[in-house]
Amino acid sequence: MDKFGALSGLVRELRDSAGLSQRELATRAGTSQPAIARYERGAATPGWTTVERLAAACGRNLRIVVETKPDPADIESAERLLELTPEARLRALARYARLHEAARGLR
Amino acid sequence: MIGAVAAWLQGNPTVTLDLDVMPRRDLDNADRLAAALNSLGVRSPGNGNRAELDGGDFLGWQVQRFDTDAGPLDVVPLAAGIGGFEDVATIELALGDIAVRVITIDEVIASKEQLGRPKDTAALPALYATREALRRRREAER
Repeated sequence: MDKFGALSGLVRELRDSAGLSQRELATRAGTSQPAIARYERGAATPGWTTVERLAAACGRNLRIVVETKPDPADIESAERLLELTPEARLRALARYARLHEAARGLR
Repeated sequence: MIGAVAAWLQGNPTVTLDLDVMPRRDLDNADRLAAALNSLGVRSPGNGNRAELDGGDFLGWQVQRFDTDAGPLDVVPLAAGIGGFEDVATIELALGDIAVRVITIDEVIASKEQLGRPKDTAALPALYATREALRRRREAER
């Protein structure tokens, strides 16, 4: 997803987490429902102050964090793990634990 | 459930053998925790002696480490950067017939960023990757 797509996803996530309709969010943030819809579709990109206002309307503060970019191999590993059910993930962990114990025994 | 096993269950590709649990701090729960650990053959990690716990053993609400038949287990009633049971954002995961409350990946990341010890910093790249994988998954499910 490009950065604009990520921003539209953020607007949608903020709204969903607050349980608001597009119209409710627009009213709270002092904008219009069509504007919210355009942000969420990625048809328009909200400015920084607008995103701050949308976050505040959803009861959230916005902050910028600079962090290490995830390694694609790690993302792929996580995605593979997520293909399993939580129960299957637990079983996989138990298998790893047994392998780990066996490897320790070989040392 | 907090810590690395909780993160693994949400897709974090970092294997760990230590289970960390954060109990609600009340006497009834302490009794239940003691019973659960006793049923797992709980032992003191220092001397390996079998322990017979009761709820009173937890009422200081300090971090305690145990060995069990199922592996190492830490009881962490309060954690730096996280707080206690009531403070932690959790999700519920179904493990067979059992619903388990686990700390969210966002909360794990926030706590490790705040703690900032070398081992916390080292864990962050995989956690960021997991958060990204979860975000993509949510996006795909829409």
